Amino acid sequence: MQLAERGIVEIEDEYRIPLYHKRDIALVRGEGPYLWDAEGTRYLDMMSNYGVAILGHAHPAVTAAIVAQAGRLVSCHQSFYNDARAAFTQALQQLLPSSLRHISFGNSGAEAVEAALKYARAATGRPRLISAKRAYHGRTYGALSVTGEAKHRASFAPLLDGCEQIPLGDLEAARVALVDAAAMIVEPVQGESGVRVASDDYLQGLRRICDKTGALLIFDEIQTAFRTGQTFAFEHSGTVPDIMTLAKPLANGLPIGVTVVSPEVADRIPPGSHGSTFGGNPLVCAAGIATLSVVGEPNFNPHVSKVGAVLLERLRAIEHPLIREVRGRGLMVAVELKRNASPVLQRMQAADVLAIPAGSTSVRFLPPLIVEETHVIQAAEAFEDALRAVGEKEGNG
Amino acid sequence: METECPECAGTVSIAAPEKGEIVECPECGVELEVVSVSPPALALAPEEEEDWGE
Repeated sequence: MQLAERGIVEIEDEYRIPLYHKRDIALVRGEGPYLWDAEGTRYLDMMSNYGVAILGHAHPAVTAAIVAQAGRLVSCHQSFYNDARAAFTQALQQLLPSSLRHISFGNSGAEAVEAALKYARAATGRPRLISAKRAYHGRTYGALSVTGEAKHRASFAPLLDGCEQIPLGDLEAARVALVDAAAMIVEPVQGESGVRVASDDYLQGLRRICDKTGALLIFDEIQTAFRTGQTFAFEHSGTVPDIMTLAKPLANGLPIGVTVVSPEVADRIPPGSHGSTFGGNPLVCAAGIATLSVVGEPNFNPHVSKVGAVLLERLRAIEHPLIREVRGRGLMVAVELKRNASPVLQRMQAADVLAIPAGSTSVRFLPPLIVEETHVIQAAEAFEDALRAVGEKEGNG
Repeated sequence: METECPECAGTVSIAAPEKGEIVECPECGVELEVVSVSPPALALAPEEEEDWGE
């Protein structure tokens, strides 16, 4: 199939429900940290398709695993055992803390969150679900009900009963809200709201409050897993949740969602109460095995920390009146601006570097985790050039 | 500058406000634009056409 860029745009625009504001390029190919559009322009990928292609594009081991499994068995319902699923499960267990052992499969982060919320209610017998303001957990009804941003929720009310948002970092609010609650769900680093890092003290405090009140602690690691310089972002604080949601990076771009729970929670989930036809299919699990084998290499996390530190340092060195704050951990970084981020993102794209927004005012960098220092330096320079050009146009710097 | 959110009436504090700056209400989360520094005034930020978020 070879369509010219104009044909691709025309077909998609004619038939799609206009849910997405489109960028004006059609991406058709990728290799490592680069993407190409239909006209042959090469872009440095600093967004990894919103955090999924962590090993870059067309990674040889992942591609080989997908091809081999596609010729063997693509689908296998979870009422049957399967070798690829078992091998993926075993590979994931090598990365998990000993107190999080039991998993269920879905096909996305939102599904992993849905399962987590259902398990929390089933395990505690309590209805109330607490989340953080500005949180982003997905767009299905349960996940949306614990998502903080009004713009995602406004058109779809009424949402799930019993959901309440409290400020991120406010332990006093948590003490009040978590009495008789089923769970607190929190991202160790909020992604969509602008890469806001929850402090270690806050996560440790939530653990203590949950232990006292009987509420379960759910960490949404859908975006943070493997990206912050530790295998899971909760490891920075030494705080282990009762339930964890995983998705984006697990199969380097193929759709997957996994909900991980402690044995105590698993024991209280009724058999047959949740499931997924496509979840845990052998094709995705084969890609996941190949991905996790790279993630488990000893130098993987140090590489993410080292290159992430270079990106943060380069961005923090930029002095410009439109910058409000630079935040990040590992290769999850954002620059919050005092204005809308879109003009800067557009100029970066024109300079062949693709980054994404977080909220409306932050430029977010979520590159493939195999990027080298030269790549992030190029990205930081493209950002600075774009910011200065936008600033000059607006009379700011 | 300390003023009121036009959406929820919550208090919004901005350290060194600039006209045209986009801020978020800490109470209700809506995005607000500083339309005047003196006297302090906020308005709902205009929806951007290029919203490429998740």
